[in-house]
Amino acid sequence: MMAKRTRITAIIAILFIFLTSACTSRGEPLLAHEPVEVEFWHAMSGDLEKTLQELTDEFNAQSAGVQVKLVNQGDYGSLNEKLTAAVKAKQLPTIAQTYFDWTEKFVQADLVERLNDYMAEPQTGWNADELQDIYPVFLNENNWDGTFYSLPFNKSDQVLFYNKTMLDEAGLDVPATWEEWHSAAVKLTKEKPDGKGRIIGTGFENAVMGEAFNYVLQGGGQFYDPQTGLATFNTPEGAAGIGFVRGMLKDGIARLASEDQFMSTPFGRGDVAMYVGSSAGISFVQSAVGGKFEWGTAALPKGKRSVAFIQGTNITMFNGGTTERKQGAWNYMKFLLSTENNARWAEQTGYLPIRKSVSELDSYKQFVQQHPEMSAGPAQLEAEASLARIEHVDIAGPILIEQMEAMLIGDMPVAEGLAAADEAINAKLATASSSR
Amino acid sequence: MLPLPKYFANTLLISVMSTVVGTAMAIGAAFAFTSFAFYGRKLAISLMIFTLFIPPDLMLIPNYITIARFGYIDSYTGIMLPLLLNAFTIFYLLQSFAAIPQEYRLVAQAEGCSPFVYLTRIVIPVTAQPIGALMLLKMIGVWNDYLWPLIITNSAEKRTLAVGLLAFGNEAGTNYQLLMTVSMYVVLPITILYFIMRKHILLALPRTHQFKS
Repeated sequence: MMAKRTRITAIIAILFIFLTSACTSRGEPLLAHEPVEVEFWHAMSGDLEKTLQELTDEFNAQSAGVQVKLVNQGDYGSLNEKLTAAVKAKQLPTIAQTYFDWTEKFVQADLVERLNDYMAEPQTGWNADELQDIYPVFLNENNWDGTFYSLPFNKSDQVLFYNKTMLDEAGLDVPATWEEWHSAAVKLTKEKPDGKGRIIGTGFENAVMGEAFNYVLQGGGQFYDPQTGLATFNTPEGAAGIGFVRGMLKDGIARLASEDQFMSTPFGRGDVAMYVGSSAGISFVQSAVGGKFEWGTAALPKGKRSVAFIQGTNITMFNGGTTERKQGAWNYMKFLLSTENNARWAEQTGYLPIRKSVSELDSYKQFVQQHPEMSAGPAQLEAEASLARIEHVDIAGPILIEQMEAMLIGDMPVAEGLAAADEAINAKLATASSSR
Repeated sequence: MLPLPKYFANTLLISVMSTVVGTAMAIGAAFAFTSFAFYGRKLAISLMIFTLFIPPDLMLIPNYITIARFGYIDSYTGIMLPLLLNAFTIFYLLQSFAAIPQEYRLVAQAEGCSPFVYLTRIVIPVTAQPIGALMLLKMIGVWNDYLWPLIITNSAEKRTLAVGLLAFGNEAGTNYQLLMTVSMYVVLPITILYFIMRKHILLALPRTHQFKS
């Protein structure tokens, strides 16, 4: 009996020892001659991660003193959650992919490294030409009153995907204005030739519920008055912008992705003739269509004002690391954003070139010739206005989603929905500013 | 390429270890609650049951901070520690153990059995079915767990199958054909295990008429 008890106690003890000691690998001090390790937390999966890994391997091979370790944190939601947890646990990486509103939160908590000094460094920084080579819309997104707290990385914008076969059969050109878009959608909405279901003229991603900003701007309105600090969604122009989308949905000439999750799926099935979507979705459209019909992309049809609606993340450097580590991270950021590497990134992932000089490279010109669908994204950047960083999006975003659902899916009239949104946002802004 | 064999091995290791160690700990706790009278016993049980009302997602960041302080980030230990015990497991076993008639214990005591021998020789064999069912449920839970293993790990060498499923999409779309294929590999082993162990689950509800003094 005694021997058996001893044996069981020993097994339990061994299990505990295994659990509490055997498996850790972190926390060992670096030897002086070991290269500095820079952790880069990202949310790039599949082919995107493969390309990022290739570029990173090249950087690591040519810079002996610094080794960048890529850490995939799943999707953006998980990355955000992990960063939030890491802030609390004081375990932030050196660099991470971030949206502008995450960066703002980190800046408020004094966790972000200013990049201006790195950029101005004569040896390792950027000269004026190199800085100005970045599209202004991307530079502005990452510039807070003259301070760069992040740099653009995997950027995309909204473009119009169209089924060329369907447009040709209907004798239509790719619509360039809202009027042309509306009438094309009317013409293209019809029963399928095989009688199995209906083709809908236009599609919108489910994310359109969060895009009130975008359509108010396109309608010619402004959603925020910096003078008064108030939300101004409810103007005739703003209402015209949202009303245009609502009208198409209510008339049955447009649909949402709904349970298909993303519009690339119904577009590939031939269930919609056109849709508005992210240029980052091109590869998904390619595989969904699979050669069944001809398709293309174009700049968005213009309402009152053409708008480049910028999406995707930037890279932020956190200020917790050593000087060597942060310098290493800067060198890596500079490497990723060089013209050649940015061109490779754009070609292999479908994200937008960050630098204007990319489009002058022969290799990229050739690439766009072979893949004409890749030209609409950069072309959209030339729009009259851009939408990248949105003031008070943390306050306005949830309210607008609620009102957009009421307007686009429910029966809420546009003017009423926008008035309710303005009222709720301004009330919250007032509370936020008084509590500051 | 995804390191699927590595993910599979990690998932298996974490599931089996958490299930075995977690169940052993839960048996100990439930046995203590049912067999010993000690000060604050009822309060401890109530507090434990109260934790059932805390949504697991709410514990994500506190758990991360705790594990970070232990220095177990990106380790198997870090993944497993919070998965080992939960109130439901102890509560469930507590119910099963409480259904064993007191006479068993009295007879065992009269025969000179220590509490440990009583636990291993009588309580565990008598409640083998609920314990088996519990282990299966725990195994399924840990096998499919996604957010915690993702948050607590940083390297592909420590990640699990469910986390690997993320590789098939981005903000603009999902490669459903690949996602579904790999999902099948995630679901298949645990489904087979379920069919093997099905009768234990069905017979596992604590039933007092099983025990006759």
